[in-house]
Amino acid sequence: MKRDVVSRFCEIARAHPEHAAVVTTERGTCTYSALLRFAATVRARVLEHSPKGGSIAIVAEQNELGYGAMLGALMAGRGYVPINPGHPPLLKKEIIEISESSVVLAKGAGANLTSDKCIALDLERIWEEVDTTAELVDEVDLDFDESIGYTIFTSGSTGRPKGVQIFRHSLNCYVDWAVDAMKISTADRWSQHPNLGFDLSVLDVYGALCGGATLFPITSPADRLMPARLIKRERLTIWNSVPSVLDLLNRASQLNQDHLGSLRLATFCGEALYPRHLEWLFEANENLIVHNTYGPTEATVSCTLVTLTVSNFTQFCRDTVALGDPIVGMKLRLDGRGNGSQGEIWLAGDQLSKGYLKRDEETQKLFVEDKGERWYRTGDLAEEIDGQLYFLERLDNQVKVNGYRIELGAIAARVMKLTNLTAKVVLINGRLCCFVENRGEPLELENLTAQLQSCSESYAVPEVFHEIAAFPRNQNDKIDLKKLVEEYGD
Amino acid sequence: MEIRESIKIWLADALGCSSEEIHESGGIGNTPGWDSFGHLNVMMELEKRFGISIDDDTVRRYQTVKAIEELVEEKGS
Repeated sequence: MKRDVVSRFCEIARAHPEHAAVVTTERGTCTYSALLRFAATVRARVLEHSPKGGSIAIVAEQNELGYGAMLGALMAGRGYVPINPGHPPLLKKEIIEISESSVVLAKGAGANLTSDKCIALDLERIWEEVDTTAELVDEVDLDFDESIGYTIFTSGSTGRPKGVQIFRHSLNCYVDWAVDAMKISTADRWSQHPNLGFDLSVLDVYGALCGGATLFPITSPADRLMPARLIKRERLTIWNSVPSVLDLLNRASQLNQDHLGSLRLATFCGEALYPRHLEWLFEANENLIVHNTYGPTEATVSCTLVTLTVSNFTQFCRDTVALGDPIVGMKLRLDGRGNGSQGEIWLAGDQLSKGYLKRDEETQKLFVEDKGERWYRTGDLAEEIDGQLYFLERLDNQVKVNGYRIELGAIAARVMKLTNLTAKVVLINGRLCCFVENRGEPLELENLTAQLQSCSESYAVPEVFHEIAAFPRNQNDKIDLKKLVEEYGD
Repeated sequence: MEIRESIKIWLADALGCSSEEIHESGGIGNTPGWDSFGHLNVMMELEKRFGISIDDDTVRRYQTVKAIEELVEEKGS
């Protein structure tokens, strides 16, 4: 049995009470003992206001309030639902409704997110009125194998957000691996870039706080644009990011010893890492260790690892960097489709999700039994070359932009709902382009964009719209997407 | 009018779109290419052309075509 994340955090907090857990420019330093007290108070408030159970929605910025809310919910034995505070209110509300959360933990104005089925608790107020007598629960009495740790929402194929349910046991296994593989200690100073609604943040938050490191949330607009400034200023030792941020750093001429010299470990996840990224990194810091990892939200953040150094990295580079081997407790196989060395990545093991919340049909389709084991079909096509696995492409209509998973069909569905017209969405040169068949009636584009912004994640609003009177169609009267892109995609 | 046109041209260059795609009501999130990468390019252009330092205040302020036009009018093109 793996150790529970709450037990790990409590042990660290008791051993290093005055050590800095979280540092932000806005709020200063939060020690481990302060964070422990706050989490215990969150637990007490949750149990007081929602004694009968139910999940806990968390709409919080990246700081001790958000992290303490996550730990407090877990201390209360509840699963939590982290929601990006930057989402439009309608989307936040939809996620809270689908998840049937009994409590919303938010900063200040959470009240407008509640319904008659749940209540909002103000995290800032809980922080100000922290209860020093609140019971500290080091060991949570719960069946971790059966209980949900968190449910994270991604954009679903129908345009409705889709909740991926992660067992507490899976979270425990993942954190157990991370603390060990990343050799985390109290000397580590760790960046925290992804928002709490993006599961990459799970690695930062639990990896750091269960390993005794200090977290530095990247919240300031300038630092988010150029995170290397924070790495330099705060002498960070661990940086976890999506690979595309490296292109930003390169553009800003910050991939150098001066900016990255303090780093001992950089981890990447969420999208393809390219050989050029590694060349830049090792040129800037030859002592750096790079972890490239792969995994869908459905397998708890990530479930493979390849450890790269200046002396070994070239052997793991093809068009992209190798995805690595499955980590402890996880299995990976390629489900062959014709061409021998290529296949869809299937995953099994401790970190597999329970499935999608209230979507049994989709769960049964993607989580399948095979030879007595439960497997998740990722929809990712990969190729094995010399014993290493390389990502090729998605098998469906899904793309990633800055690490965020986007179902192109879902965006088109939203456009069609708003316009009553046929629409197709494709990714061209990294940009979401929407084609609308307007039947000769020009659209009110500003209005449509505003409507999309009010109900979608900001990264899921098309940048470019092409209005076409009639789509090209093939002999079966199906829309000829290839022709559409070729003829009108510029 | 001339100032506006020249802003459109270098903005389009920084964002990798065409100058016809730069509208007066445009800005981050509603102009092709004006994502975080595009915004970094815009800020670096402002730094180079007008000596604007890249900090929280300026990163927040110059997120629209209008704000950039006002800056250019103030500084002179």
